Amino acid sequence: MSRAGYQREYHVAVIGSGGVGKSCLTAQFVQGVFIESYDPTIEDSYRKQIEVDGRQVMLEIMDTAGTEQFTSMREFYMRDAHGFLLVFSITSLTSLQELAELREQIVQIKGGDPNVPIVLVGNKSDLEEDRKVSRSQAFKVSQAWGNVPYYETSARRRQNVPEVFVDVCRQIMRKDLSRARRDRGPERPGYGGGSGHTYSRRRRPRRQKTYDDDDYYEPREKRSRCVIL
Amino acid sequence: MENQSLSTAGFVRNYGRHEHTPNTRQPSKLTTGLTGVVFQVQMTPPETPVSSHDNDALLPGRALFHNYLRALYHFDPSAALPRNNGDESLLTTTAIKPGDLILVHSVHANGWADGTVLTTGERGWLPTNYCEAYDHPYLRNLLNAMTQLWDLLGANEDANFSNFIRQDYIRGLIAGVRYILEHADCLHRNAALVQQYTGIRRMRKGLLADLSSLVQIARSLQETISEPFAGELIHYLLDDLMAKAFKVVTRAVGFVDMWSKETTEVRLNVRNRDSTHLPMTPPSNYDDLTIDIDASRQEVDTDPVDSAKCLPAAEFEEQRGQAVAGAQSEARRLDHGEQSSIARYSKRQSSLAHRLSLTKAERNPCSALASEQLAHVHDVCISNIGAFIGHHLHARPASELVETTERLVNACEAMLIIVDDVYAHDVRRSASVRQARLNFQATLGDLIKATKEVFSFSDLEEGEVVVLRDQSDHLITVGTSLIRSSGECVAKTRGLIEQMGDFELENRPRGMRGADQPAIEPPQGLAQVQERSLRPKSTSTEKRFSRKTLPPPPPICKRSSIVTDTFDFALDSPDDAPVAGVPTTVPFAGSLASNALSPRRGSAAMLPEPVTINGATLRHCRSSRLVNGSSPARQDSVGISIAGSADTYRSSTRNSAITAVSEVSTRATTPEKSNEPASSDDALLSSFNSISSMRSGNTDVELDAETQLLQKTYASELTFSKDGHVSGGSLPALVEKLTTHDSTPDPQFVSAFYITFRLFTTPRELAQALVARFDYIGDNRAVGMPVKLRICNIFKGWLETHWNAEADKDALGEIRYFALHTLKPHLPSAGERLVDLTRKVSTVYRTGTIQGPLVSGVGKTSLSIGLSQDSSKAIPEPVVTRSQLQALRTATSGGHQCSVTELDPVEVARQLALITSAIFCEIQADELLEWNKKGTKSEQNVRRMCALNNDIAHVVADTILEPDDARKRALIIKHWAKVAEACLELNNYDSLMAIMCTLNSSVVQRLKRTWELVSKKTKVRMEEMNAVIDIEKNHASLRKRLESPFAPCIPFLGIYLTDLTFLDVGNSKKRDLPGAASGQPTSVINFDKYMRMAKVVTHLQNFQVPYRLQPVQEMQAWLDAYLQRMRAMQDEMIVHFHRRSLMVEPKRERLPRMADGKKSGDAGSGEERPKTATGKERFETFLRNNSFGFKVHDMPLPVVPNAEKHG
Repeated sequence: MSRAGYQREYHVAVIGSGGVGKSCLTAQFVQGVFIESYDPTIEDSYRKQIEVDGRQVMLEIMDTAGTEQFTSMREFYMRDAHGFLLVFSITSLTSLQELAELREQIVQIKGGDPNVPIVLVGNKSDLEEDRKVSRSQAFKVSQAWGNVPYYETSARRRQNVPEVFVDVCRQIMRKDLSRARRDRGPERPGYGGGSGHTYSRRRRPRRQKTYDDDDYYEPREKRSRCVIL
Repeated sequence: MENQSLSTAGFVRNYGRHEHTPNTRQPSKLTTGLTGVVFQVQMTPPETPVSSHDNDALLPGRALFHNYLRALYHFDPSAALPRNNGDESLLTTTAIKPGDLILVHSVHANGWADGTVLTTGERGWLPTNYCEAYDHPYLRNLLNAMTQLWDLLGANEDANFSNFIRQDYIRGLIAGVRYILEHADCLHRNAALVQQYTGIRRMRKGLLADLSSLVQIARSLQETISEPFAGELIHYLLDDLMAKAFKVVTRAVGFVDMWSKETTEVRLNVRNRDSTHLPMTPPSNYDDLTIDIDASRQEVDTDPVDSAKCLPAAEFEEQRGQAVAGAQSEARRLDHGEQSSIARYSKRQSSLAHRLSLTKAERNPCSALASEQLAHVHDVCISNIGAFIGHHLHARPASELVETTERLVNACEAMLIIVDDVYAHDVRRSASVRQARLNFQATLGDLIKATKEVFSFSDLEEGEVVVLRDQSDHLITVGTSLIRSSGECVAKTRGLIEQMGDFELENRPRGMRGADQPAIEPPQGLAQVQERSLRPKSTSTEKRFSRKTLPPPPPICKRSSIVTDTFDFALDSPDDAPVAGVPTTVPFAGSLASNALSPRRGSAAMLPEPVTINGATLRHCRSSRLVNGSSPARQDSVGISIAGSADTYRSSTRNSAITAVSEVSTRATTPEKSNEPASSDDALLSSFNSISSMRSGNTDVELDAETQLLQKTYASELTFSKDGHVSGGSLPALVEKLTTHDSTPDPQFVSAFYITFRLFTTPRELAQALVARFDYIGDNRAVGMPVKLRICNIFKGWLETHWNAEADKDALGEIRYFALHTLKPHLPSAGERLVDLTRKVSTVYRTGTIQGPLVSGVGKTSLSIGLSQDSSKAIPEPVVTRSQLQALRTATSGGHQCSVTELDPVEVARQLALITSAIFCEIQADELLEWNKKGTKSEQNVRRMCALNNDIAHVVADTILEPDDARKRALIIKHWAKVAEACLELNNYDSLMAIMCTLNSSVVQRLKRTWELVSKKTKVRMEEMNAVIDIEKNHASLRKRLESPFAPCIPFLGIYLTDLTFLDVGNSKKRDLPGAASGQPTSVINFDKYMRMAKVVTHLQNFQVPYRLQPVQEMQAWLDAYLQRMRAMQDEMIVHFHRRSLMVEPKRERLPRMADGKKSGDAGSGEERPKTATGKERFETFLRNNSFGFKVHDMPLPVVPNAEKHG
């Protein structure tokens, strides 16, 4: 598969415990401008084309809002996603703590890859007076996770909403490119398949990270982006 | 070309819809900018035939999009278009007549609009500079409804007729009419206004007649649509309907015109005097009035000065105009200086009345009070003097001078009469008035003398009198002093009125007539009598003199069309056109401008600069030249050659003789006024009469129709989506929709309402709204009863099937009270039933026996009925052997564990379906809607579903990872794949999802050795199922499968929960009414959101049908126990599975390669990231410590005891 030939389509999973405003974030991002009514039941409900660094990218947002409790589903989302928004609410310390577990799961599912494109998102920044998670606290966590960018957003006020998606998208693209450069030989079949197996879950070939994926990633460059508004 | 213009127009429209604001004071910068465009653009629609730069009226209309325009001038494409050699332009442009209301579809940048003339129903391009935006707060609802109807039916051929069956759009029109009548205080036939004014009464009657025939057409349309072979007929009926709707709107506009004409005085008077003898006054106050005038006058008060500046050539006239204006303003200042408040009101009134062309005081049947009559006649007088002065600024044909003078004299006489009346009322204190009056009269005499001189010098034929320069200068001087003295006179008189209190002048003539006259007369008759009684009083010799000496005015032919045209009566008559009005901040300018803009007569008049209230100073006068451009008719009067053709000129010259009279007047006048009102008004009224009598020969029918049409309604607070569903509405409006009398309520709407109402209102409020609806519908047989029964049914349905004992308990008292005290007296049996129901409901709540609907089987909508499984099918025999049962029993009782492979996959799937279905079918609508709201406990079934799904997934993982032998694992995988397939067969997508999630999970997928042993066939099968549950594209594949309702089925709940979450987040709770943009922003419940949510809920409910399968107790017990076990340790299970997975197939196998990767990764992370003791580390430590020598069977899987605890 030649990556350059296709319009890039990336899957971004928005993950976080219930009540942190994930769905708000996604709805705001996908909806863009005000539309008469938002119908989340159609195919394109969570798709949005954006331009990142001069490239057109189709983002498909996989929001677990509503299915947080289906823990078995979670892995589905995680495995399909190329990048992650880990969302917590700055008004709830628990919501940040719960992310740690989810982040671990992501890393595990992505074959222990510590450089999975992740953005840490502290939502509800408009509720400053109810803040329970200080910026430094959150920033520390983001550093602990390999200097992942940390943003504070307000889905309600549309602050930093596109930014977080663009950031994670940029990470995915960078990774995608470095990988393409390195990628020699045929595309590996889907997960679960040893060399002799043809079993692939996907019709559309997609790079799947599996547990024993032995791809080697260059250590990511030092990042210290922290956008706080 | 067409396309281009249309697309631009489309943009304008879309844009305009949102930007629609009542702000009319466009910055005049726009003027030049847009004018530039006009000159540059050469394309269809044809270039504006007139240079529009000097028509201030059109510019705001262009900057903003107005749905409705009202024509100010005649526009005849056949005559006016410069390049009409081909038929093309004729086909695409449409003729307009002054007063025509135009529904605008789009506006091209060059000022041409694609519109439908409501009066004629013709659609085509028309010049916006011939029109002004039309908006009236009373009419707004009706106009909105009209727009909606058009959008639904008129715009596209393949309109969705089925939407139409529900009559919502027609109802919107009805509500719009009702809104008008209600706000005009003419709702009831016996309303004082209706009784008092013939015009209003007739207009109202005609309006209602039109409306009822509209309703009839709509009905027959409904009936026809439901017939299979309606075909052509429908299109005819639709055309009819649209035409009728147009007519209703036209008529409503006429009504409002008439109404404001008739009632303005009354309303103003009531403000002036605290107590009123008038039996009926609109509750709306003075502010309302100014608003409504302001709205209808939108564009007149835009500042003409700047546009004047663009034309330096106009300066000369401007200066002269200023002189006149100065004189006039002086007179005004007198008015204002003395009693500003009265003056203001009366000014406002007079300007209104003025546009109604009531030149003579006696023609105005409703000016009851002296102060008003005075103001009115003064206004007329001033405008006539203005016209007179203006006349002399230009050399005009003498015939016009004569006419102008005559009208001037008439007006002055009328004023003198009023002054005399007032004077006569109190002789003692009116010396100053007397003096002022005498001065005025003397000045008038001077003026007449001067005019006479002009003619006496001439020995030519009358028509060719040439007025010399100094003569005209003298005339101007005299005219100016006349203005001054008239102002003085009026001011004095007003002071007198103020002193002795306002009184009703119209009583006087009546009294003079004697007691033989009936006390109450129809206004028309009264008006005539008044006229009669006043005429003899006008003894002024000047009048006779002028009549004698001055040549007769030229024949006036142009009004004939009005008289003959019965449909156009209201709109074509400039008298009724709401083109005049006084904007709040510029009390005078409005009236001045309105005159200037009035068709035929006023277009050439000067548009004075708006006057500020305090100064009452006319700062500027608009040059005649400027105005000239605004109408093609004016081309001849000034030598500007405009983009017009000879045709235009010709067509307009027939009017120009008359209109030119007022060329430079500060107060535009209507040359024909004094001659015409009687005929036009009468024609108007009689035409009305004939129409309404034609429509409603039978009084009873009319009465019935009227009561039906005029029932109180909130339909104006309802909005519809393009596909005809209710998309928003206030609670009363929604309740009304719920209980319509003329059509069965849309079941979808009703169920959506039941399901979601707790999200946008409280049960108590709903009960109150229903009760209120019951109260206001009245006792009408045709309407009241069906509605009342519907209300009962709504209550019944609520209590029986949609009652939420916990949430709705607050409303119970309300409902019981209603049932006992309101319903029972009306409908004893229904009341009894409802009381009974409330009792039941409360009993149930107290005892807590039933959690859910009273009527079994339905917590859901009627839609799910009939979906139940085909009962003819026999229940399939369980596929289970005795030994299997035995094994299961042993396993359940704690003995040797039973492997899932020992059981038949189909039977496992069946039992899973039964277990899942049991929970699924119990899910209530409220749980789904509030499942993610914190602090609610009602969502227990939803949570149970989630938990069950996870448990099943864990069971699958547990069984797969249990054996140490890869071959066994492969077998189990194969077995679960078969179970999954059977689940798919059973439409149990929930369990399918759970199983497939596990089979795809990393812990299972990484077992390479195991997968090597899984047959290709199984893998293909799995791939097929993966395609079903693919989360890609928003679960497109799964959604497609679940699209059409079939049952029994257990859909994957997660999708719906996500949908509900996003519906909630992505849609606002309120939405603005479409008309709100142009006025008061009203937001109503965004029912579209709740409709969508209800749709999801209903969709799920459709699946809530139990499986017709035989439970195998042993297997269920075993499964239950297993599931409970998983539940008990769900938190540890994930870790356990990982460990187990690593244990059965350690990473070691690929160690050489893995080590490298791992090492560098670890090293990287170790160096770069300060690692806290994260879960991962703990996990790995845990693995190191525990993973060896550990057997799964020894895992603390507390078996039965825990199961009992959780069961």
